[in-house]
Amino acid sequence: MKTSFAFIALFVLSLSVSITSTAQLTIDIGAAKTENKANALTFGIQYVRVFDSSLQTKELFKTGKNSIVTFAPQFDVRFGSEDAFSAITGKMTALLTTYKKTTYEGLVVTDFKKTINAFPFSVGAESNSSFTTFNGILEAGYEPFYQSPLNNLPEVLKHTEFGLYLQAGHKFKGDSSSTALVGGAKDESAEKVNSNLLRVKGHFGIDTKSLVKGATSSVGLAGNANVWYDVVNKKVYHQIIATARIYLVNGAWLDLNYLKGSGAPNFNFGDEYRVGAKFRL
Amino acid sequence: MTQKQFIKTALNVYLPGFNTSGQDPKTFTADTTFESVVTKKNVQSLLKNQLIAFFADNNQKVVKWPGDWQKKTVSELSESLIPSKS
Repeated sequence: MKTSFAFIALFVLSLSVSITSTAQLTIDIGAAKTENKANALTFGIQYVRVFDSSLQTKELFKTGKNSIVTFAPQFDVRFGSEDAFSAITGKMTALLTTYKKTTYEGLVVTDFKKTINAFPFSVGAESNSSFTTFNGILEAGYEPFYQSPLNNLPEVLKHTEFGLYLQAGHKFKGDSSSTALVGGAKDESAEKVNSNLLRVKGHFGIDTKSLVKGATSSVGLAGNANVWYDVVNKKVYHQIIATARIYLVNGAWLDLNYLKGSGAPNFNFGDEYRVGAKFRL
Repeated sequence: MTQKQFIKTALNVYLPGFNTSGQDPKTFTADTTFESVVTKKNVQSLLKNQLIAFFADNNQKVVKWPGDWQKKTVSELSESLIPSKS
């Protein structure tokens, strides 16, 4: 009951965020076939916005000679009924970028022929939808932006992305009133409650964008792979997401997904099939 | 920096530089919204980061960034960020 209340409260909070703010919000709703072969409803909310607290009267940033740091809170919720994979992440990110400069009509501008090096430094928390455990996480990463159409790199590389991250933290005990989690909802990580966490994460993604274009829609393929090395327990976890995407009008799209592995924090090794629509608000 | 300079630079440098929509940059106008060109959320964060750097590198005062900036047109954002000298 306590878990259900927390779950609903979080969902209502997320929805209220979407109503009261005009931030960068993506909502997806879908159906899934879970690890336990159950039919489940799935929901996802992704939220990124500029750091513009009403208490702030000016923008927060820090510049260097060829660098700048800006701040952004991020919120990512994935959950569903039955034993669907779940992950809830909230973090505050300081985004450090280093970039080359050039000039345009007498003004100093970013040189997009060169890669922009982005180093996100985050502090946050991650949990599953039952809140059985909470992980407090510090993360440092590297995500180069080389996909600019103006960059001189080969076109095929611009359909890819990668990132490297170091994650450190602590795993806390959460809601003990939850019933035993099964199937895709089960925590299968070797990370123990009340112990420290240390992981190295690698991400690789590829997105064809629109491969086949129709009059009102188009179809593309996307793949994402995440690998974590659990330094404390000397274990490797993985997550592979294969997507066939149908682009609709007004920035909405329909995804057909196959997921192998739930990713953090449960690191469930099961698989899941999903179909869902995604909307940007 | 004037609003006109910001609009021109956004249309000819920053939107083409962060264009993840696949649209032809020749179609970009002052009425184009940032999110219609920069469709990925993490790239939108990077665009905002680099636009602030653009202001700082050109000694332009950076005022509070509007929360819904990515929904604004290039023209609207220029009006929000650069006071008119009238």
